[in-house]
Amino acid sequence: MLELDNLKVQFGKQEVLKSLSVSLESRAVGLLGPNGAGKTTLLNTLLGFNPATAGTARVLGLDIKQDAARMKSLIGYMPENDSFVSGITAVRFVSLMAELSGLPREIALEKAHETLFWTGLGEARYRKIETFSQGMKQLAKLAQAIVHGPKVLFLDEPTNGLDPPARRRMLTLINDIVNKSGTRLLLSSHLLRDVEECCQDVLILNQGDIAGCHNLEEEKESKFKFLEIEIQGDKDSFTAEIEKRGCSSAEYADGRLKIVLPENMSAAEIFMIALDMDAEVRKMEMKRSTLEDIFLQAVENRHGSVQ
Amino acid sequence: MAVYSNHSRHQPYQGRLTGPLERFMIIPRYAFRSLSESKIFLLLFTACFAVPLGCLLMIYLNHNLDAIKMLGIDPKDLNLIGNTFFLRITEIQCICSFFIMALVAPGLLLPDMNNNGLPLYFSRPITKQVYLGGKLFVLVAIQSVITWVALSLLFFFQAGLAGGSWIFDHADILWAIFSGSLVWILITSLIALTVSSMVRWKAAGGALLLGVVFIASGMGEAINEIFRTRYGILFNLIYMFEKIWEWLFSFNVHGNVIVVPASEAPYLPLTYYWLDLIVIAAVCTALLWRKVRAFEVVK
Repeated sequence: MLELDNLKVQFGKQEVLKSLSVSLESRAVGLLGPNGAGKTTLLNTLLGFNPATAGTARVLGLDIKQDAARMKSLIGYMPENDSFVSGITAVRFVSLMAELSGLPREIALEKAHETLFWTGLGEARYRKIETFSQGMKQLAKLAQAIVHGPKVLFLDEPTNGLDPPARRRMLTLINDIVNKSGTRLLLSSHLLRDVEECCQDVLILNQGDIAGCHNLEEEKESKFKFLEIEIQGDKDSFTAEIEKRGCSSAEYADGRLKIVLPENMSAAEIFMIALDMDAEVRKMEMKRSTLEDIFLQAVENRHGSVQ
Repeated sequence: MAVYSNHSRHQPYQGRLTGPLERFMIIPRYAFRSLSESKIFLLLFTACFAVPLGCLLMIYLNHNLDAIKMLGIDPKDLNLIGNTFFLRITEIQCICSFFIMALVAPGLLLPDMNNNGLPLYFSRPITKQVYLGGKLFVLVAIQSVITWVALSLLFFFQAGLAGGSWIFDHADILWAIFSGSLVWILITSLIALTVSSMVRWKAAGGALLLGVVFIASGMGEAINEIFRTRYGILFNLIYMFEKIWEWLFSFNVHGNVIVVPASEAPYLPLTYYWLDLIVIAAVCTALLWRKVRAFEVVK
């Protein structure tokens, strides 16, 4: 679905995206990263809003520079901030966007009605968008992004400013679009749970660079069992010893250790190793791997501590 | 019309897509529809045809001696319908069209720009050229109806009543009406869109536009006085157009110069005015190009 080929973006002297190269094939990709990591810049570059300083990217095999017009007709985009045309009703707004995407006039109007009903704005479709609440504006943005039936959907922080029920509704709609209509998804968010609920792959960005690229299912299965441990004593020797026995470990910024156990090893054995090494175990907790762990590990591995 | 058939599932559109020309007309079509819902626009737009209607009556009277006698008008008091007559109406109509534009232009860009709507346009197969071209088309179309379209109809009305070879002997007037109006329309439309892209409120946009044209004229005069020069006139858009229109209307079909009454010799050679207009158009296009973008650059 998405292929980045040494994609580099520079604003003045500041390098915002640093020669990114990756190929993502799954149907729903989450774009994760702390604030300022370059997620929105990457989306803007794919949409042609920012020119790439070097390299290129392909969406559904179409080059973002050479096949820009064709590529854009296959994309639905929901920006992060409030985005609408004021002074017109929701149905005219969505219909305008559908027509701009290439739908004939009558069909655009019909699809606008249909999409607004589907997103739950049917009753409010003759109201001007500037009178909408934040949640309704988000739904209107989603409606304009899907009205023309795009092949790929770029969603930038779609649950921004939504209360829990509205957030749930938005995620349900996104999952419906991806699962029922076969649309591919590129979801940019700093909310890990949103990405975890909607995506199969995650691309983690940090400071304009790729900090990790993972398949969520595989990660969950392979790192199903792990320990979070807080020890006092010779941490380096302890780490070396457990790694000798087949464990892998990573250190959080606050000094805690995350230890992934091999299949045949129990938590009690870790406790015994600590005892042998004269290290004092202050806290030990068995955990399931979550996207948060993957994210933290990716960001820490690259820079030593979470930004 | 079937509004929708299935609530539970969103069905993507798979059919025919429209062509580039059809797509270019979407932005103007939506803009015209919004304008047609504005009562103040309709009122002012209609009022702009008061002068051409009066002129229509004058032309009719010029060719109807019975009516002149009945109204008790001395035929010597009637204006001769020719270059000067059409020059004056062109000037009046162009100024009228400018006021209409001051009302319309801010409403074209601000609803998109104020609400971060531009990324929605440019994430679709719509280029900046098509977007700005569509907005410019709206201003050009509205001003055209008020200026050269209305005046051409007057010209053909006069030609029909005068009969004979009048239309061929005065073809230069038709050309002057068209070219004079079109240059005015293009320059003022570009200025209007540029000014509109720099404000946040419609009223401020209209006021700023009037200010840019009329205050700049005053500023030009001040420059002339303070620096004892004549180049300040290059800030006076209305004066420059007056001289350009006089020049355009001062030829007959054989290329001979007709003296247009009540006009003074221009302060500077006409070439300076043409060059100034080109510079204004270029600066406006560059500013507009920079201002209309899919995202804000925060420095």
